[in-house]
Amino acid sequence: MTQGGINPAGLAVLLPVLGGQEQTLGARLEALPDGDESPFATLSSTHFARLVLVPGLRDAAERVVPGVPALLFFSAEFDLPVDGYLEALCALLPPEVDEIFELCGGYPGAASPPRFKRWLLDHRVPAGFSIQGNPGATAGEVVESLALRDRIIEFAVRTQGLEPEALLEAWRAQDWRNGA
Amino acid sequence: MTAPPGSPTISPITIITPVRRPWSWWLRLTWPGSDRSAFIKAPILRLSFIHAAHWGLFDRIPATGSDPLPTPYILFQSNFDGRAFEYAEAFALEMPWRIRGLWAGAHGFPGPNPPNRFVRYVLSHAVEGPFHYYARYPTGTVRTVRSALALKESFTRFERKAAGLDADKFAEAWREFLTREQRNL
Repeated sequence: MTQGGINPAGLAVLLPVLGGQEQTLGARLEALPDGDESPFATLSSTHFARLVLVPGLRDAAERVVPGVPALLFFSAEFDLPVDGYLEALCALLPPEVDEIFELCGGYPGAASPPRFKRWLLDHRVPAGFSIQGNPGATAGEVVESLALRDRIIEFAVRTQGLEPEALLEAWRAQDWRNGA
Repeated sequence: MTAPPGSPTISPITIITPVRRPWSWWLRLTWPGSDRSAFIKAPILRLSFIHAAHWGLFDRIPATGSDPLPTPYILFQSNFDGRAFEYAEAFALEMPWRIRGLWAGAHGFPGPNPPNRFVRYVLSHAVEGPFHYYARYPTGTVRTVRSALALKESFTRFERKAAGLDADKFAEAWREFLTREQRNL
C-alpha cells in the first residue's frame, strides 16, 4: 500500500515470450510512441515504466542457458496499490495491453482484469532491496512542483529590477496555478 | 557533457547477473533488514541520482512450473539521472562495501576496485534487447525534484504572507523569499 507517494515495492515481472514471437514483440515495443504519447502517459499515477525484451539468460560461464525462453521484463513505479494500478492498466489501455502481452505464454487478455492481475502477479519478481529518491511525492505533485518552480524562476528573471509598484502589479497579474 | 535544456535526463538500466546459490540465500536473509535500514540507504540517497531502484532475486522463470535455473539471478533495475557509465562508476567510488554487499557472490564480480572493471562488469550484464521506456518527468533530476517540492511548500507559505502587503513590503518580502530559496531555484 502507498501512503501518499510512490508505491515502495513497485512492480517487476518476468514473462516468458511465446516461441518464435521474439522479433514481433521487439518490433512492437520499439513501435510504441515515446514521451507524452506513450501508453503509460494515460495512467497519471505512473512515475516510470519499462518493457524490455530479454533475449535469454547467461550462466556463470557467460553461455546462453539452454531451454530458457526469451523473456519480457515489465516494471513500473506508480502511486497506487499494485492491484489498482493493474486494474487501471486493463481499463484504460486494453488494446495496448493485448498487443504487448498477447505474445507471452498464458496471457488471459485484458478483458478479464482479475485473471490478468493474477497472471501478471504470478510472474512477479519481488523487490528485496529498494531505493526511492523522493518517496513521499506522487507523480502529479512532482510534475506540478517542477512546473511551479519553472514559473517562479521565469517570474524572478522577468521582474528583476522592477520598482515595487510594478513588481506587485506583475505579481497580481501572474496566474501561478496555470502558468499564464 | 551536459544535456541541453529540455532533453531527458533520466535513464533506465536493467541488469541481470548470475549469482552463487549460497549468496542468494544470504541476500534473502539480509535484505529485509537492509531494506529497512536508514544507515545502509542514507549514503545511496545522498548521492541523489536514483529516482527508483530495486534489487530482486529469481531462481526459476516465474509461474512456468519449470525446473530451477542452473544458478539464481539478481535482477537489478534503476531509473537514474545521467549516463550508465557515470552511474556505475559513482556506485563503485562512493559505496564500495555496499556494492560488495549486493554483488559479492555474483559470478564474475570483479569487486568495486578498480572502478572501471566494475563498470565493465555492470554494463556487460545490462539487458540490451528492444525496449520501451516512459518517465513522467523526464527532465527532472532527483535534486531538481527535491528542490521543486521544497520550493512549492515554501512558496505556498509566501503566497499567504504576501496577500495584502503594500508594494514596498511586498518587494522586500519577495527579495527575502528569493534569497532564502536560492538553493531551490
